[in-house]
Amino acid sequence: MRPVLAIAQRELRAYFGAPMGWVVMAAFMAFAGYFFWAAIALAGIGEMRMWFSNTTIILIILLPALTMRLIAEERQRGTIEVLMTSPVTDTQAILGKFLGAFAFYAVMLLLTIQFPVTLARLGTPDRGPFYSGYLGMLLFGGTFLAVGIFISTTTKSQVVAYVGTMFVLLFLWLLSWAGMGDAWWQKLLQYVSIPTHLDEFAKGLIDTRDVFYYVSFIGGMLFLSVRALAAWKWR
Amino acid sequence: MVEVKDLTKYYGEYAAIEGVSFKVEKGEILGFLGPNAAGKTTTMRIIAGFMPPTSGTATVAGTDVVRDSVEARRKLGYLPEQVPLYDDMSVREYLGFCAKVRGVARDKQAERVDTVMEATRVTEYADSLILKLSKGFRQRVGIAQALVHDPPLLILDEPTVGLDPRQIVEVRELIRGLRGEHTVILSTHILPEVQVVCDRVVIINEGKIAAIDTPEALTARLRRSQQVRLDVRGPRKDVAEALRTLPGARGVTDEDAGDGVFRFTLEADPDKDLREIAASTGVKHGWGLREMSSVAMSLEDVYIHLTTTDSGAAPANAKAPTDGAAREVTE
Repeated sequence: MRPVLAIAQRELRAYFGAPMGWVVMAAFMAFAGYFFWAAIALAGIGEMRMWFSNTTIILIILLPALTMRLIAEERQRGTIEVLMTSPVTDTQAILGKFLGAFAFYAVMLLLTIQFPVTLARLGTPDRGPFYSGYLGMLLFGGTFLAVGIFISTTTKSQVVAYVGTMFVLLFLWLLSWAGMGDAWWQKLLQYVSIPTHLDEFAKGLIDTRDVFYYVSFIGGMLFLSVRALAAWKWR
Repeated sequence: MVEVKDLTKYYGEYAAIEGVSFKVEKGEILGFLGPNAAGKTTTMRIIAGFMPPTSGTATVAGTDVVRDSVEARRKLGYLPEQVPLYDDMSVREYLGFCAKVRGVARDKQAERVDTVMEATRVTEYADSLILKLSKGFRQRVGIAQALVHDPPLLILDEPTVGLDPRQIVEVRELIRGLRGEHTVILSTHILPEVQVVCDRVVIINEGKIAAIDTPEALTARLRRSQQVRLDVRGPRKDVAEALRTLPGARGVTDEDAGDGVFRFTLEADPDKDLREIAASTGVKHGWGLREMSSVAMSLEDVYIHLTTTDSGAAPANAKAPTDGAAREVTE
């Protein structure tokens, strides 16, 4: 566990030490702030549900920028040779990298806590959906980060990792549109698609099936990343 | 300390190394010498546990680097060729990270970082970003990184490449200072480095081991005869005849050096030094001796001899190379 935490800590610090982390965070806050303001001022909606689903869209663009460097940069610069000749298993390396990115994302979310706090000051909203919504957002972002780290493992180029991740995330997103309907395959698409599972959280429901979906999705992606890293070394 | 047996690694169809076997004793500095793309880096990466071999085994202090990879990696520090470091960290942060990842006890981490910074003399740059360091200091941080968890084995891939002459001397001294306490495997394609730093040499060429021995023994092994070169003004045939009849002489070749001077190459038994008697013979006959020198085969000759494709592959494992081959490389 110690190497995992050491790697996670290094990654987290790297985000704060480089422009990319700040750019992602600033862009996220700008959009998130706009969506919040638009919901209240333009639509007059005093709840977070819309905000959650709107904000997820910009995560498609922003989160790949966090994950693209995780393995691809190490491969490109050769630092992976030093890391992987340390007594660190492939699983520990991937887990540490993932946790570092996840922690940075959690900080980003933490900064938006001001929105529900503002709502609570202005009126007496139901607080349940806030908590469940944030839990959903954490899990939701985790799946994006897991997809990102997997694709970052498969290439040396950060650009390829970014574009590839964004493409895959968009594709998974579109599945939920294609899945609108009641046919069995549409239901299946709905189930596979990442954003559909966020709706219940945003409504205030924590369904174990949704939690299970996200956690297993993240676990599956991380497993694939570990295999991809090992395969690259075997090549 | 390290035992490598029959190591083979294929990249697709291409064999990077084939049947490489050798041992490294504890406290020894082993030089891995070979031209570029000979398989040095591949072998070192396998020992360092970075990638598995296609076949064969390697053990570090008795631990198999494939089956028990993480445990083996605990016992070694590795410096890759391009010295890849995290540029966005300071030297102290980076070494601290390495100490943590390599499992140095929490209360010892800061102390170990200070110790290796002292040993590699980078303390004055402790809080500078690695990005800002010169090549020489990067190299030292690279070595510090490999030392931070105090591993018994160090693997250094071309540790002096790209440094200026003064830095090269410093890094070599640093490595020599590790002898005894640490076992070191280092690769290089610079010959003097091996002679200066290493206890034993593995010469590798085209993925196969061409020779393993001490630098001195390797030189001696190919020196099957002594050669003396003389520039003499005098009758060509008579001089050649006089030299040929000296006791211990094996043969003489001659060539025209112009201006009435001929250059003779006198070959003699390895234990006979014919320089003085050859000189006095010349004086006795009244020939003008212009220049005389002893031609010894250097490690460089051995190296070139072993690694040039037309003569390298065949006598690689032969104990005694032919005189013809030895002469060929001294010309």
